[in-house]
Amino acid sequence: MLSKIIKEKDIKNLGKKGIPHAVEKQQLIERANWRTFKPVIDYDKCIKCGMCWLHCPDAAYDFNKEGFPVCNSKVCKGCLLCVEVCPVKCISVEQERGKLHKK
Amino acid sequence: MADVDFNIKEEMKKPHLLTGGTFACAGCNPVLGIRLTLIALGRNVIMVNSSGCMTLTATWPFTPYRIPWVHGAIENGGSVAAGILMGLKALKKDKDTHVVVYAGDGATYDIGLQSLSGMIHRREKIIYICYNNCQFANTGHQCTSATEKYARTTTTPPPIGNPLPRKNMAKMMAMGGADYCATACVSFPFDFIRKLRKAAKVEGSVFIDLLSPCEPGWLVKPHETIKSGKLMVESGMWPLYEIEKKKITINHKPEMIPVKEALKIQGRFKHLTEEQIGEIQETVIKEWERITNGRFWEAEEY
Repeated sequence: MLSKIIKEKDIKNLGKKGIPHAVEKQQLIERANWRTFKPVIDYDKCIKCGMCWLHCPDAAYDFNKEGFPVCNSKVCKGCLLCVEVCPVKCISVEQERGKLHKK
Repeated sequence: MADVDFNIKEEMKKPHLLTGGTFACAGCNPVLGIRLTLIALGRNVIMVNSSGCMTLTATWPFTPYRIPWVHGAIENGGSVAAGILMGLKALKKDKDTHVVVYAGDGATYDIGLQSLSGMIHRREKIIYICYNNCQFANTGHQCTSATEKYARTTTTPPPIGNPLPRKNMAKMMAMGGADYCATACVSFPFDFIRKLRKAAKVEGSVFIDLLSPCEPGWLVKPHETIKSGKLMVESGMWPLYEIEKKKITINHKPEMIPVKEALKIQGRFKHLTEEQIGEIQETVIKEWERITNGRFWEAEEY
């Protein structure tokens, strides 16, 4: 049964790493529609400490070539934990949705 | 960070082992706990999940994990992991692979206690992490034995709240024979990573109780989850310690801020009267006296 699945799914790395990965290339599911507020980073103040990367539950932070954090707007749910943990307070909040209800 | 080296600049270059796009709430701390676990232990991890909130992270056909991940039932996290370890031993691959159980507090303190205690009794080389959000968060925030006294849950509504104090699981597992026991909090990620790296070297069973605030359950705002966990530790309500060979080491000395400050931002303690807050403060002070005076192993008074 297992060998049939392995043939069908074309799992190649069996035996090398012990257990095959079911999904080779993962696609990111968008969670941008969960968000009301989004974090905006001020790169002049950023000290590249990586605390936003360490504390993000959704793994939304990656780093560009200069080593600055970049927020992936596809998966960010807008929990704003990065704003809370930033030691130099260089991340500000911008409202994206809900502007219609504002008086 | 004396005995374990952790360089955040090097870890930042590595790819995410838990990607985004999960079904977890915004600001979910248990998911952050998984991320920190995978940052600490790396790619050679087989994760066993007991039913709970974190089962919803991987719903077929999607998975955010780049490591092998197994979902057992709620009561058998320990035994599923023991089976996997036995298979790895047969393949002679148990030396460099860590078997990690990531179970909720309902699955650890209440329902899955038998499989956990069996695993600890057999001295299996498994790292058992309990993400403790103090309630059955997945099924609608019911009361568990990890819930604090007087806390509001859906089965213990105000004005009384939960009438019972929580049980001390790390102490219980250390007495049961775990080789390394620790309490941790998601708000102190370096402490948690250090404990995990230490646990990876231990030849025997490991139990880590990880306090991870839950925003819909604790009735805090998403961005305040880290802060509320920090206040729980700093007020002394959640002591951070590790137990090796029945010897307790306190990892973080709290500032002992008034308990009122920590309870104020959590909506589940909003109904408390001054008397009840005073009672909680008294028990916290008593507990710290017991720990610092070397009377940790004495039975607790109720």
